[in-house]
Parts: sequence; C-alpha cells; structure tokens
Amino acid sequence: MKRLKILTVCGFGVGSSLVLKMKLDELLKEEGIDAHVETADVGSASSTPCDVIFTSKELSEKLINSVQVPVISVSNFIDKNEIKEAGLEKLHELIKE
Amino acid sequence: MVIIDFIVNQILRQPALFLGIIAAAGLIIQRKSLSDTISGTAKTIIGVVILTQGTTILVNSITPLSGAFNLLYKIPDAQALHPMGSDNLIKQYGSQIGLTMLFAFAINLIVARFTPLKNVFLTGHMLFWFPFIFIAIAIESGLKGASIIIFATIFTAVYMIFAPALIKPFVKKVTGSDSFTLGHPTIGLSLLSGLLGKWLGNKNKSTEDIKFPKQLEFLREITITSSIVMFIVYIVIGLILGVDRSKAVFDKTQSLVTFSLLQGITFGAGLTILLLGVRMMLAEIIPAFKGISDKVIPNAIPALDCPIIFPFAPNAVLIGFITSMVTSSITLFIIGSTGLFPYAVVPLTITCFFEIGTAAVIGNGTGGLRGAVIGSGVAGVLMILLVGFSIPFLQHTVSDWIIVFGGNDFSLWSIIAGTIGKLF
Repeated sequence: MKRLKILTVCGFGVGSSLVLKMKLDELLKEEGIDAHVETADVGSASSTPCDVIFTSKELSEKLINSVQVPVISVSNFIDKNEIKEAGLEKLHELIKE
Repeated sequence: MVIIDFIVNQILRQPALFLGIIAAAGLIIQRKSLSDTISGTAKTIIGVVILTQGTTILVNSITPLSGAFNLLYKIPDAQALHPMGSDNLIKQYGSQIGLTMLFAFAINLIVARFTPLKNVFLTGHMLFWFPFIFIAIAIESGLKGASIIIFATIFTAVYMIFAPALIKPFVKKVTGSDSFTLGHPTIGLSLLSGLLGKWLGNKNKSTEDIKFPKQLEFLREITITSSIVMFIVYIVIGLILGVDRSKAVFDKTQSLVTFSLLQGITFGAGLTILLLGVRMMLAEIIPAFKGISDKVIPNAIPALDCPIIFPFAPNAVLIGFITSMVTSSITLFIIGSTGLFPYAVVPLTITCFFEIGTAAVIGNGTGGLRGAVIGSGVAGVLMILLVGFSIPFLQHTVSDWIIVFGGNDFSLWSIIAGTIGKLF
C-alpha cells in the first residue's frame, strides 16, 4: 500500500484549505488511511505533485483542466460527512492502484 | 546563567527559531513520530524565513509607487513616510509576535471555556497578522519591553473574542447553521454590508439567481488578478506623472510599459512566496492549536477564514469584488485630486476580493442581490478611507504593509489601538 499525497486547495492556500486539511486528517484517521495532506493556493496547485486534489466547487472548475490527477469538490469544508461522501471511494481506489 | 542568557538572547529573539520551538511543542503534544516532528519543526523555521523574504519582494514591488506619489504631491523627502518595513519588524519583533499569539489564544480558550462566548479563533495567518499589527502600534506608541507584548495581547484577545461573536448571526443567515463563524479582518466591513442589506436590500432576488459570465472566473486567482491591477496602477500613475518625469522615480532605461509589467509580475511573485512562507510556518502550529481547543472546549464554535463561506454564494464574491474595485477606484480618484492623503494609497485587490467578497456574501444573506451590491459598494468607499486614515498610525513601522493588506479591520483597529496608545 502506498502513502497517498493529498492536496487541499483554496484561493490563498493558507486559511480555508488548512481547515479542509484538518477535517480530512480526522477522516483519514477514522478510516485508517495512511496519507499525507498538504495545502496549496489555486495558482501553484497545478505544479505541485500529488495523487488527488480536494477543493471547492468554483476552484475545481479551474483546476480540472490543468491537472492530471482526480479533483474532488467539496462545498462545506467543515462537513466531514460531505467530504466522506465526495471523496472516500476515490481514496480507496487510489490506494489499490 | 550562561545557558539562560543563550536561550533568551540567541534563540527566543530569533523569530524563526522561536516559532520552530512552538511547532515542535505542538507536534510533541500531538504525539507525532520523531520523523514528522523533525520535518514539521524544520518546515516551520524555513517558512518564517521564506515569509520575510516574500514580504521584502512584495514591498519592493510597490516602493517605486511611494516615490511617484511623493513626486506627484510634491512631498519633501523629510516628510515622506520612512517605515522600518514589515520584513524588519518581523525580524526584530517576531518572537514578541509569537508570544502574543500564544497568550491571546490562551485567553481566547479560557473565555470560551468559562463564558457563553464559545468561539475560538482558528484562522492561522490572521493569528499571526493581528499580533503583528498591534505590536507595530505598540512600538508607534512608544512602548518598550514587556509592555509591547501586554498591549498587543490585550487588543488581539479582545478582537479574537468579540469580532467573531458579532458577525455570527449574519453568518447564520448565510449558512443556516451555527457550526462556525468568521475569524477574519473582513468582520467590520461584513457587519456594515449585512446591516445595509437588511435595511435597503431585497431578499427576493439572490446573487445566485443570476448567470455569471464564465470568462470572469479567472478573477478568482487572486495572485494573477492583483498582478494585473498593480500593472494598471503603475501605467496610470506613470501617465499622470508624464512618461519623462516618471522615469526619475521608476526606471531610467526601461519603458513605462515594460517597467509596469515587471513590477506587477513581481508583486504577484512576492505574494506567492509570502503565502508559501505563511503556509509552511503555520501548517504545524494551527492543527496543534485546534487539537488543544478540541480537548479543552468540546462545544467550541471555530472562527474560520472567510473563503469558508464563499461556496454558499460564489457569484456574490465576484459581484462584491467587481463592485468594490469600481467604487474604491472612483473614491481614490476623488480623494487623489483633493490631496487628503499625501501618500501612496493604491487599489487594494486582495481586500476587495477576500474582505469585500465576504461582505457581499453576507449582504446577499440579509438583502439579496441588492444587499450585496449596496453593501460591497459602500464597503469599497470605506476601505479607502480606512487605509488612508490608518497609514499615519503606522508611519514609522509597517505603513508599507498596510497599503497592501489594509482597508479592513487591520486599518480600523490600527486607528482604535493607535488612538488609545497615544494616551500612554
């Protein structure tokens, strides 16, 4: 099993992406998934190597065309259930690869 | 004694090392592995160094503008602003900023634990910049030694505790729940926008009912947008001065267009580096703060960064940005011709996007599309007045920083704290 590298992205890469990272860390711990989560701003995200990107709906539309990895959009960054529904399946898929 | 002296004078006075120690403590409390602790601590230290370098690049990219405004308003060099600079403030007082962060956060936790004000301030970069600005005000007020930290801690704590509580009912109007509030210097402008929306708005038509042109989506990439705006600012100021006169303060060999383009791009580059530094500096400290908060106050309401609210009304963000760029530019032109502010006041792209974008979301929550437009339009005018009136309060310290990141609660509270500081 490889260790996933996940990128959370917001406009500045310092505030709300960090909130999303912390929620994602909680979820990963609960699910027993070993992954490393980092934050980035929307400008530098496409040039940051990673396995999957989590971001908001508006920014995902920008990113989806410029990156090769899956982009998962979340509208409420502090809703763990939404993050789970939007991304858990994909994460399991990526681990198996 | 030698050891204590070494720790106090060699380590605690070095902001990078001091924040590294805070991060290391946080990682150890969270029981991270040795490998994670070492890399997390190192990244924090590197982040502080990157942050100061990024600030230098960013500020240098707008320095020629100050020269241009001095020429434009015919200000003699002796009366021009000579701030120590935000990079120097961080280098010299970074440890005081770190201590203020810790003390103010601790006070916030105690208040949240024992009073009905349950909000805990968790916006990482703002936990850094509020102490930064209040320490600058303390220095401007002539305070020395420990009283600098006490002054900054009191103001930071008061802001962190009360501002998020004030905006909470308006956030609820947008999100429909009490799960979080805002912890961001937008709060003053957002409150204004929310009230204007309530009095003058019309909830029947929301910003999200209208179709927004897809071509404007690039505006969301704020490092790019602010580069473009700075490019335009240089061109406009250059043309007002006249191409020949502008060469004296800009660049003697480059054409105005080339010079303006490079300054605009350098602004975006500096901003990107500054953000990288902030990100690395806080990536370990904030989760530690949150971990402590979760343990001590299980029912805490986190006060978070403003883009958290953007997905609730993404159109409102762009409407607020565009409206306030227009109203603030008009205000700048009117004020520029009166000479009310005899120093560089330039369009505040970042504030228009984050602070007033949020204000528009709040205005939409109370008064629909009309509320968002009126709220953000008025906020744009107020932003220019706030930044202009706050510059004198920071003229010896970080006026270079406030003309890029002000026009919001940083400016408002610089004025408040600076006025109180003068009493000492």
